[in-house]
Amino acid sequence: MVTRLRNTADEWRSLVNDMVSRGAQGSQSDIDNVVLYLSTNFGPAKGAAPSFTQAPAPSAPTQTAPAIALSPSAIANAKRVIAQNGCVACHRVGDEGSYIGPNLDDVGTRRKADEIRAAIVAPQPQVQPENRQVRLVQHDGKTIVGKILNQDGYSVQMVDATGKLATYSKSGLREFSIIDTNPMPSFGNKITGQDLDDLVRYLSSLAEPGK
Amino acid sequence: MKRSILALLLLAGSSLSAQVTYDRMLNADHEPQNWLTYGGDYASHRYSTLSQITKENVGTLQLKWVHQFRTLQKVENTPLVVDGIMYLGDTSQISAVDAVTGRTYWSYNHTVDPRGVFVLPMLKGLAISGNRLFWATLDGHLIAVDAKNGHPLWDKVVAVWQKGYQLNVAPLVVKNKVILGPATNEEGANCWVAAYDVETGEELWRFDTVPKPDEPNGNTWAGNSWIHGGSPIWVTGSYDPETNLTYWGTGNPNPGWNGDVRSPGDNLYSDSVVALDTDTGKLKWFYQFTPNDEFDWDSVQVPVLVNMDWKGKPRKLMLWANRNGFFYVLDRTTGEFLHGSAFVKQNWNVGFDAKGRPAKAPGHIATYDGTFIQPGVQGGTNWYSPSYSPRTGLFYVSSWQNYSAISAKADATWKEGERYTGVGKPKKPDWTRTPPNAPLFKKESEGYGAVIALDPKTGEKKWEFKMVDYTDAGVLSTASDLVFSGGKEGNFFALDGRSGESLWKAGMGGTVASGPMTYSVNGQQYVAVCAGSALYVFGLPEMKAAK
Repeated sequence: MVTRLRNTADEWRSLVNDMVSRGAQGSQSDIDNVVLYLSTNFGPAKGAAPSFTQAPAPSAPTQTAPAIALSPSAIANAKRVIAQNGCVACHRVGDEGSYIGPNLDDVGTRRKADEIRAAIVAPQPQVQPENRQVRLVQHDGKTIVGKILNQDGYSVQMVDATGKLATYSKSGLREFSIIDTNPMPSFGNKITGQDLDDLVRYLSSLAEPGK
Repeated sequence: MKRSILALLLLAGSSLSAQVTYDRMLNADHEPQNWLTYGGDYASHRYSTLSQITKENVGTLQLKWVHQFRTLQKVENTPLVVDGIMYLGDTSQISAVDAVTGRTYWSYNHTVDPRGVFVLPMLKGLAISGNRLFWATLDGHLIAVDAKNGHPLWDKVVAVWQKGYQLNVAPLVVKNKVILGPATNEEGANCWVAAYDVETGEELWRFDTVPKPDEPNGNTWAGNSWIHGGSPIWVTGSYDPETNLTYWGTGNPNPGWNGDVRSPGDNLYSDSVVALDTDTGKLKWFYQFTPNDEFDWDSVQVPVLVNMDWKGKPRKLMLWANRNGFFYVLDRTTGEFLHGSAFVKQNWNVGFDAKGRPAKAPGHIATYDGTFIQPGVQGGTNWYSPSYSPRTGLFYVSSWQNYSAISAKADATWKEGERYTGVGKPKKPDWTRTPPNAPLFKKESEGYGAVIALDPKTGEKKWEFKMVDYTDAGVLSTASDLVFSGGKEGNFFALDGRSGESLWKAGMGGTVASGPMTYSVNGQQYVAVCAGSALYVFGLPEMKAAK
């Protein structure tokens, strides 16, 4: 029921503090993450529409990370965090990584810092429609999973994790399933403190060439 | 000797350039090689008795030629074909081209006033009578052009764009009259259906789609709201020679998304079909599909006129799949409501009374915050031409299934030269189940386009051909039980008219937002459709080499 509420960050902070005062358990970092998740996804204007299957549009940030210049060591640390946590198993950064998840090369132009932080520590349960994957099962039982690039009534155009572009005829399939659940696990317990700050600032700095 | 050769040449010439008479239009089904009106015939069946292209050979259709329009806009044109010559156009140029090769005989240009900004910058088609083509231009001119050489014969301003009007309809010619009406540019300019003399352009009669307060039904507008009631005309009507009535669908009232100023009242004759005496323009009957509309559900669909048995008795009917999501059967002599059933998911109408008045669902009204409405603003269908096949007895129409929108209103004050819509911004979260800006990634539950076949006797859906994306395409059916249509996915396809099975398709590289048509020259059948900003013509491969 609470997810039907729509509150500002301060209102969520007050509500969560109230719950803590009544005995809710969690470290200060956990509590901060809960407030961040709630205010990002259930903010006053836009956000999740829990009654429906559609993933919410990106919301306006309710907190703004301080603009701190990225030092070479912070960039190096962020790249280390990316490598250690296997982000490129799904995402692509530079010349590395998979094509299944959203490309991170331009994530700084698409998402605000707080949205990136929320996506790492408390990913939304469903992906944006443009990031949906599809599972195809051909008549011979072969299964293909990839990201939809395009489709019509007759065929679907996909890219798989390796970057292979292919068109599949829908008449050759016994199953065509759109997957809108978010495969991204929470890294809230794995990437914390300075590592999280460096990663968020680094990703926020990644912009589409020319923008 | 010399004289007799000349006589022979004149005779041959006249046989090649026979004029399009009223009699020919009345009997359009006797010359299926031609396509003489927007809907193919006066009854607007968009059905052809041509049968050379069959279920067996349709899979071998080949591209024969392409006509590129001088626009980057999508093209909604349905061409005319008369004796091997095709007439077609966009908003700035019309042309006569060879229907076999696509080579241009002539073009005639009209520069639309560049100060005008129009909500529907398209041309649906032309009309022909005798040797005259009639072109209704965006900026309000009705121009008669000599079909032989493209020279203008007369040019009348019939609607002043500076007052909020535009023309984008294919006119309908009946006897000596060119019949059409203007659309308002959503500027609250009151509209009409009018008849103009084919010879001179003189206005012969006019029917106002918004009556004045002292006229019949003038009391259906609260206060002075009738002054800016809109109720536009932007899709071609039909004609029934048996009743001498011409039928036209009317668009939404203004302001379209906020009914407060218009309430209480039904706001006649918005969102209606009006049946007008073709000789006088007098109203014989009307039926309003959506009283006091706040969802922009123009009733500008093409009236499809059918004679068939209704509950055991032969009856003259009108079939109508409306933007509001309901399929209607009316008696076209009297306007009597005979049937109404939803052909898409809808949540606004809980039923009809005996006279066909819908009972609006409580709470399903436009609000400042926004209300979840099915179908959405583009409707269950829209202006896309449906088709009726007398062979299958089915009514084919392009539809938007599982489609919804949030209807939000805002305060509206009329100001000259400005849009008068009352459209608001939803304040609630985006409830619409259609992912915005992601039509290619959506699931069926979030909306899809479909060509559907309805049994007009029951409204029952006989089959459905699904597309992922929605469709703005019209439908053509033929005597070999083929159904041609397309959609936003950019495919043009042929379906089995009895099962909906896909038999052939071509990727057009642009949205199909026009009504397909068919014609033949020298015994060879062609199928033509506009996609993107070009017209594509297909035929069978065994056809003779192009001349």
